[in-house]
Amino acid sequence: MIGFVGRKLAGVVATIAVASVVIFGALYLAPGDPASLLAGGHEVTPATMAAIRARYHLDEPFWAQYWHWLSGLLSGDPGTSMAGNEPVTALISARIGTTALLVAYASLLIVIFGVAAGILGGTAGRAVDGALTVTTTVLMAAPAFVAAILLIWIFATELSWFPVFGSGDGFGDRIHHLTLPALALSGGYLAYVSRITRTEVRTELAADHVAAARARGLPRRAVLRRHVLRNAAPPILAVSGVTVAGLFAGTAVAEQAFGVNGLGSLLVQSAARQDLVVVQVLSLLLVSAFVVVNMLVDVLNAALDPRLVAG
Amino acid sequence: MIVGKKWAGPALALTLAMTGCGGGGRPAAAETFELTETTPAATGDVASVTWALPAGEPASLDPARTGDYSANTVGTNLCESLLRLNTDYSTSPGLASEVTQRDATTVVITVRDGVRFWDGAALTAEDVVYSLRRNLDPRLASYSAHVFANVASIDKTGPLEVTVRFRTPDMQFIPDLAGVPGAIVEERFATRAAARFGTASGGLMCTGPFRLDGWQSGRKITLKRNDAYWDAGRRAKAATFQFVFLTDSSTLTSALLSGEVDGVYGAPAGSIAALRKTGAGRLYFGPSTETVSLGAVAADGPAADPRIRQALDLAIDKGSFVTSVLKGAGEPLKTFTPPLAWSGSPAKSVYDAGYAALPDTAKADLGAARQLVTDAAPSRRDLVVALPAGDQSLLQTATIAQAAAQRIGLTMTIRQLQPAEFSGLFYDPGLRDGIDFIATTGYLEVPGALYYAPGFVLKGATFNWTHYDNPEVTRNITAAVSATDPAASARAFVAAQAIYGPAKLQITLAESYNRLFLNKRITGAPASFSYISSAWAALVGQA
Repeated sequence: MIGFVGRKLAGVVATIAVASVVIFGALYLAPGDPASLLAGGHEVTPATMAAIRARYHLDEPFWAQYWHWLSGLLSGDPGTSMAGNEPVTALISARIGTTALLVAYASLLIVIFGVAAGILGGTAGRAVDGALTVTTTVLMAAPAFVAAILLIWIFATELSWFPVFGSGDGFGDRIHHLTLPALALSGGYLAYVSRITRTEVRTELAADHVAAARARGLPRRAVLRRHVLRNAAPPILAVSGVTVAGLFAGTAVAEQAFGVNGLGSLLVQSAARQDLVVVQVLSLLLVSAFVVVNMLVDVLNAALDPRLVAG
Repeated sequence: MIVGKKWAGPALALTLAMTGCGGGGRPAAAETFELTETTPAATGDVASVTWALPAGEPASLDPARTGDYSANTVGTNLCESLLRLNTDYSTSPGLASEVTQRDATTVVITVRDGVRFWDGAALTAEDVVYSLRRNLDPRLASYSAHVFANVASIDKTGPLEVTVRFRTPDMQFIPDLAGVPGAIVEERFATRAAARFGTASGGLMCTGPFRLDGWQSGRKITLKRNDAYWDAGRRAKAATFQFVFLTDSSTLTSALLSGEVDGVYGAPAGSIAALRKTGAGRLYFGPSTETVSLGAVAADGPAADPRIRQALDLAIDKGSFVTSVLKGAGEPLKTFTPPLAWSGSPAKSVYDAGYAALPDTAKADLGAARQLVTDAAPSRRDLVVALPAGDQSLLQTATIAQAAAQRIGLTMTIRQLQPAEFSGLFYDPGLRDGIDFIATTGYLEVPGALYYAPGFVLKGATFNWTHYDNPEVTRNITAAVSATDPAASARAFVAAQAIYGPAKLQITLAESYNRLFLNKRITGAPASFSYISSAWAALVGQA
């Protein structure tokens, strides 16, 4: 098991290292000179442009720039925002809590309601299953920003149950503010997890060992718990894990739509301003979150089913 | 303004692209738009006001780093300028009790006595010299550096007197002092804060009717009333003023309708219908200097030929442009300098007469346009129009131009550029290769007919990318920027405009009205675009 975790960890580090070069390279190759944006768009003297380029090492070769960036990151100083002159660490620390809470909230919704709906769909009668299929189809088809518009219209403007925008202060208020964003964010993923769960449950229900257990006269609940769910759990967990990892990227749309000050809206704002320093760090952070969550899911799966370690 | 920094905020554009037609507005073709410069005066104080910034969080509040919608909307309430901008774009004394053009190359500023910064320190001539000189420092890369391009020296010449000397005459300098270029900061505080000055953590020290109370990165900026404000008549009516960043137009509209946000400048055009209907507040329309244009950027090829530009101008129906893109809230313009720029000038009548005499090309005339294309017999008929990627209204504008071009036998390709690429066009001629026109929006944040013209029409000027050169225009513009008498300057300007206007260096499509929404509980905010350079929030109080 320790070897397994070690291999996974090495994979994570390698993936992040490659991602760092790709992210830095992609933004390096992006068209346009970021110095021109920093200059403010007016008539600028060559001296001013040179001063800006020197300050952000924009006049140096690729690997030198990459080294400046990487050594800064490793020493805990990812640099200063080009647009706002604020340290990137300050920008991130002001927002990371909100995004983490939003992702956690949406993850809970996805796992609890997604799995519950899937089990219900897999075991209940045709009418319930049909209703769930229609609901999940709608949820899967609606992009997060469309869901956001609808949720705001119904629950914020018409019913006034939730605020239209913002992140809130204190835990209760933050949960109140983040409910609609979490719903918008989780909708499609929730439907996906429920579909997978339903299929897995159905497959297990049709399996020989379940038929045998039933034939032995085991109560329905026990069959479901011991034979169906235990076997269906690993694939459901794997899918849920990837889904939750993907949430980090999805926050950009949900946070933007609900005026939530998280990392996602910071990424959108920084990308629009072509604030390379911030975009690079955030992109790497999102990739890292995705990779690390995936690794945790793998390890958790392995702990549940030791046969996976050997494979 | 037509160039550079003033194109609509990319963050806004991006979210508009994401929400699509989320605003749910319908073109208000048959509706009338009553223009007003101001809203009814406030009847009393209010505890707090929440205001939205549709262009997003300001990057900085340092006046030297201020030059877009968000930073100006907030910052002008904090750091005041030497002159005040009034709703009709006239100016009054501000932190300067007097600014005089002593001769063509000397401006004398008398610093107002008795003004104190928020920390209690007195405003001195040294602070004024420091604040103005900052704009000359290339390392600071001030957004206002261009205003100081002709300045030779800035010196203290008396206890409360500062003298600015010029290498070449520049009549536009004094009106520029009504905007951010004339904003005054405390020298001691600014030098201590250094690079952090004007940021969320570095703070500000100025004299305005509000002081900066807090800036929670990504969440809000809070202003508190400056109770020791020097001008008792303009003391702020709101005890606190909060700015929130709402770049998504449909979320912003919902927040206004639900009353979570009290007001906004630049209300989404797509939500005009919804905001006019609601009982939550009122949508005002004011005169503006905001324009939408297609600028010729090629030194050779069809776009450099005035006949092709005129043909394109004639092919585009400005009325339908206003209806479809601005949802009716605007009007066609004849030239790139909008009339509000001079409406506060003592020589207004001269400017107005000059504008009235310009040919009116608002209605499409395809016959005349086709004839011009035939006469020009362009070497190639395929044109490229560039715009910043993600800006939906500019994309619509370019699409309209494309359709118009097709009707007169030209083909137009739309090319969307990333923000850094687009802003690079303004410095790097190489980036303009293969591009004939750019679609831009812009505004004037200060009064002055001479704000745009010299940069566009003089030989070798920064934005004269078509290499336009007309001796008569050059002579008149030079006379206009050198004249110390406003009427003489106006006459020279109008004479130049009569020649370069019809040459359509910029195909100016329309002025976009300023859109202000106020919750029914508040009033007092100026409705004209003058808010962009004035301490407008001080006027907002109880309805």
